[in-house]
Amino acid sequence: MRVLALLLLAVAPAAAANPECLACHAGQHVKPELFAASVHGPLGCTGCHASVDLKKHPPASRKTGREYTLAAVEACKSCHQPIHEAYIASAHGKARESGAPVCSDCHKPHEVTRASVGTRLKETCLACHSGAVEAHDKWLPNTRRHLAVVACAACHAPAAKRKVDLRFYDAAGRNEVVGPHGELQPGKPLDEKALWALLRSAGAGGKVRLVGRVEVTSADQAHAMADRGQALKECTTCHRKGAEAFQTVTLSVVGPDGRRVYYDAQKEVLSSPFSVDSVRGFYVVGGTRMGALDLLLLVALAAGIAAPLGHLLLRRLLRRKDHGKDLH
Amino acid sequence: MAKIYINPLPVRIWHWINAAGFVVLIVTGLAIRYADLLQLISFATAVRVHNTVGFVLLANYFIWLGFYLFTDKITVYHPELDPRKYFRHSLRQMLYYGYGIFRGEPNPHHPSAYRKFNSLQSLTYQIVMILLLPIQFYTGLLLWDLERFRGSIELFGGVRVVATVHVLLFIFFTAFIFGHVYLASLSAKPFAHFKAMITGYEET
Repeated sequence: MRVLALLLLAVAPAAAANPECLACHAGQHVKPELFAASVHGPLGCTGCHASVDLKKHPPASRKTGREYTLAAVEACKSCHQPIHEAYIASAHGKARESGAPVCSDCHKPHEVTRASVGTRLKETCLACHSGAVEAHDKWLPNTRRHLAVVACAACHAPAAKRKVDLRFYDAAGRNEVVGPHGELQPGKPLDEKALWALLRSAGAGGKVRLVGRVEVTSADQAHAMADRGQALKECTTCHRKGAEAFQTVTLSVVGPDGRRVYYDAQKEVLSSPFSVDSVRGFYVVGGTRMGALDLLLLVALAAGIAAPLGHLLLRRLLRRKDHGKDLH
Repeated sequence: MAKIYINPLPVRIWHWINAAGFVVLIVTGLAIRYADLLQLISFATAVRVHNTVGFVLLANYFIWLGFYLFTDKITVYHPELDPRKYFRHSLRQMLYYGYGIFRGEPNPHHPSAYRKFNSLQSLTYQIVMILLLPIQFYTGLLLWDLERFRGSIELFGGVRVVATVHVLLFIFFTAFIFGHVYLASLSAKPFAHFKAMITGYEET
């Protein structure tokens, strides 16, 4: 059987699904249907495993699973060079010989989906950092909301550039839905009116919500995880007007092919009174505050102080006049 | 000099806890919303104090509610149930503050144990205590734990609507305090209303 598989492998085209490999390797590590559906599926087995010497396969002395995955980092590098460099310099990359995760630990190469789709990445982080929720809960108010809408890398890759990505969710705000893909055109950044029109067309009767997430702006930055002590812990990194994270806003939709597509939006949509409803699922205290309310506070304060002072002054002035009249 | 017992102990306890709490909530609220402009205290400390004091005031609210629900002193808010008279008296009080007071006319309202508030005061306090303050507590509670109250927040119109209502009421209460303190100074005897909220007795 193994000889037959090797013979088939020798003649298989590079980008085929390689059923001859799966004849032996299907199972625990490679699930044929998941691999076929993954973004790596079109590459076929040899896309990443080109170094396999068929004359010596299987090799006489095998590497351990860990040795193999460590070595496989180089295979990922051939396509993902900038990410590889960021990873090697990261806390994960530096400690990879000591058990820190390598590419395949987080991304499961034989069933890899786009990292930006779904919540799998956060779950992957928490699978190793099992005490992370409790650790954050000790100092971070609204911990669960922070962990739900802020990508781990947004704080744990402190040098990364952050942004807000708006996504279409169901009415309960729990699951992302396929957005109005066909109605979006690249070009002019979306403003409040455009978002409102999109929401109306995407889900009549308020069935669809826009939910914002704080993300890093590129995949390589997402891999530049620093040591725990260097993670951002200063609340005012985001909780202040003009914070860097809110200067870049995108709206993204997952198309029918599973690919996430990003469209630029104006940063004003996060703090405009006209998007209170359309961007109802994203609010950062202090960070996305409405200027109109600041003005109202100033006017109310001025009126609150001026009205009693004016009344008091008028009472004094008029009393003095009355007093003068009495004297005469 | 006559003295009437106008502010029972539970009302005085509630009032001063509320007053101190309001000041702390306003200061920490400003520190939270304007962390980039005011470096009074750290953002994290401001949030922690704001949340704690918010819960203290929520509990304190029930002292006020319990006292007026379970004693006959609830009549201070409705000494009579004739709405025409109620609004006529409110108008009379507005005319006094806007005109009569400048001419040295006497305050048309004479407080007593069961008629503590003038009609305008009673109307304002009822709006504040039965409508605005509960909304402020509710929105504050929702913002305290966004995931726990996810469903309620969605019913309310989303987190931005909840936060906007909370801030609008914060603006109202901040301005209200100045007017409240000033109006409290307009007693027949100097500082009589302030003393009454400490000793319980008002000089008339």
